Amino acid sequence: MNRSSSILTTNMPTNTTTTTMTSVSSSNNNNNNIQNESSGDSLLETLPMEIIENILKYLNQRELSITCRVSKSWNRIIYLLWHTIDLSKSHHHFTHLSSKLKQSLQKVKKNKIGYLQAIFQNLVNNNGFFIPPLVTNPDSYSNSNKVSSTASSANANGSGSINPAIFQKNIVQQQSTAKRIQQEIQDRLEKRIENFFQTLCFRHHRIEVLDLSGCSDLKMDSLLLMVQTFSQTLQKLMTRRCKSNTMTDMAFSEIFQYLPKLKTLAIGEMPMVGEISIGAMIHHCPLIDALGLGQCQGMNDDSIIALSKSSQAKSLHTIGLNNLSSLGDHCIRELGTHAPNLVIFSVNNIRSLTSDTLSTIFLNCSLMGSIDLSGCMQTDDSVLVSISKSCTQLFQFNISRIQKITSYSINLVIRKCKNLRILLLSKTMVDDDCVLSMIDNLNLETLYAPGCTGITDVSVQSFLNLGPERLSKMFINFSQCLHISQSLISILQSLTKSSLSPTNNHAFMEITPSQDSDLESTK
Amino acid sequence: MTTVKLESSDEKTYEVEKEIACMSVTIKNMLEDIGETDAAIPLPNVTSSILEKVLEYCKHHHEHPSPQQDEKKDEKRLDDIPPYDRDFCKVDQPTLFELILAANYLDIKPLLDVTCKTVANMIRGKTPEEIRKIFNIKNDFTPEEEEQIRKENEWCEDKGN
Repeated sequence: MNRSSSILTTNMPTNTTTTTMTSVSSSNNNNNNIQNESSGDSLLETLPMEIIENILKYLNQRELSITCRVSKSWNRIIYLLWHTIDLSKSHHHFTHLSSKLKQSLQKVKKNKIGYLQAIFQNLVNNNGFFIPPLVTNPDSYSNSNKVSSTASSANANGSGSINPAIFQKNIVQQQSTAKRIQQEIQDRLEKRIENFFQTLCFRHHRIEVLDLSGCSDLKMDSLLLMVQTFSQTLQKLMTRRCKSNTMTDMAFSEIFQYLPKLKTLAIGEMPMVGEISIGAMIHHCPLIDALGLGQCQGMNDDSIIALSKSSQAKSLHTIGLNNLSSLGDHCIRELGTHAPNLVIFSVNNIRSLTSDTLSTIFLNCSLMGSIDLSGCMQTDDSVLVSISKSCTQLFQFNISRIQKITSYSINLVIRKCKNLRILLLSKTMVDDDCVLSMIDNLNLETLYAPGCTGITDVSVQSFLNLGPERLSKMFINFSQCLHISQSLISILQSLTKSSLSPTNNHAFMEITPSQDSDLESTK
Repeated sequence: MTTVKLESSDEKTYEVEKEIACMSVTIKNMLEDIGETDAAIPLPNVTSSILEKVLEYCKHHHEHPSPQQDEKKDEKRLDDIPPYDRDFCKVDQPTLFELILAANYLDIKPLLDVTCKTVANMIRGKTPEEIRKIFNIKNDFTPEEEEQIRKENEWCEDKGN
């Protein structure tokens, strides 16, 4: 903790810089002859800070990283206003150990030294991943500062800094050293990851969006340092699949006191996070309006009840509870009745949900835009009747694998909800009438309906009649529909979008990603 | 039809429909503060040539109101600039930057957004060298320094897993 506070202190002067720059640029405001400002300054730098910030909001992190190479003054301004860190698609060697590498390290435990060569190869294949040269005396690495400084400088050199010869020497050493070497590699890799996150905190100051999804070796200390550093600006935090064993419910709950401006939180697939964190979030984050809790097995009914009783419930527009199969019907009913402004509602595979509860929720929440009920097996026609009455703005709808729903009520939704664009109906009772109705009523983008026995060649023919131009913008999947001839399916496939998975093009879908197991298996 | 008078920094006066002038939140607030008046409202931060452009923009959007944009949708889109606005922003850089400053001072959010988007579009998808050319910036980095910055931001590239 001493370390983090020292970093925070070194960051403090940036506030002063901001003020100075704003005052300098605002004094230029009255100067009509901006172009002749001091040489080397471009027009952009003469703008007030808040306007530059407004411009940079339209650029993503990749564009920002290019822009900060333009000149020293641009570099200073860009780092000062950098707003997004998204590591969810980043290459793993920056943010976490790959599962392949972890496996290799475990094998060392079992089979001793013989696998070190494999680890070495893995690291080389990881393209520039830094491994400090091994020495026989591990004590020389006890000084952590020394390691981190070596790590950052050697990072630039890439794999060139690795000396295989030294490695070879170790391989022939005694078996007893294998465990130690293995531990050492792991420690240093983790150090390297910690160092990466510390560097992010040094360079950036006003981060609004922080997506750390998939950084499975992210330690609680690093996360805490980041939220403290970006405390004044952070609005959106995503830590899906951050499964480090340091991420306990109690430890995670500590972050919320530093996040007064947080609006969006996605913590899906974090196994330990639960009631304590939700309680802390409710207490410290008054602006929360989007929550993704999918597959957080630590969530219980009490967490959801607390959420529904909170003052934030009425402004919630997104809630993702995918695969929280242990949740009871009652708590979700409470949440739905206290959150009338929900737009995105994802509860797939919560089998306890009754049709009565779902009907109550949909009659209460008329702004629904995306509803995912796939695998909620108790859902019946009465739920869809409620949706057709209340949720007329619906644009995305997933009722995959629900057998109780008849084509009558599916058709009703299609006719009443004219904004529907994305329909996921795999293994349902959907039939030709529904499909014809979709074609007539909707501006369809995606129809995902594999395994639907009610659909025949009639539907495919109607799609084909739309002509190639319309079809080229659509995604349609009729695979495993037994009553459609294979030849028609291949014609349709050649005319529509070829990707296997339907596209989620809504801004909030990242918070509640579709967990449809059918989709996974087709990939 | 009520009109108001606006005076630019170079002391030219313009008579404008009140509703059009009030697309500027700054002017709207001023009018609310001073009440009915025949006197011209001074705008010391805006030159006549820029004020004319701004009024042209406001007039067009007053006559052709754009449909209410859905606030919830992705706000960072750059490709949604309507054709009139795109043409309106086809001006030289000094004019564009003065328009931004005027839109900021007069508090006309749609004009500020569209001008800022235009600048962002000038940056998007370019190399550092191209950006320097566009904005006439001198590169004060050594090649080594520039390479170092590229390296430290390597995580920004999406490489998949």
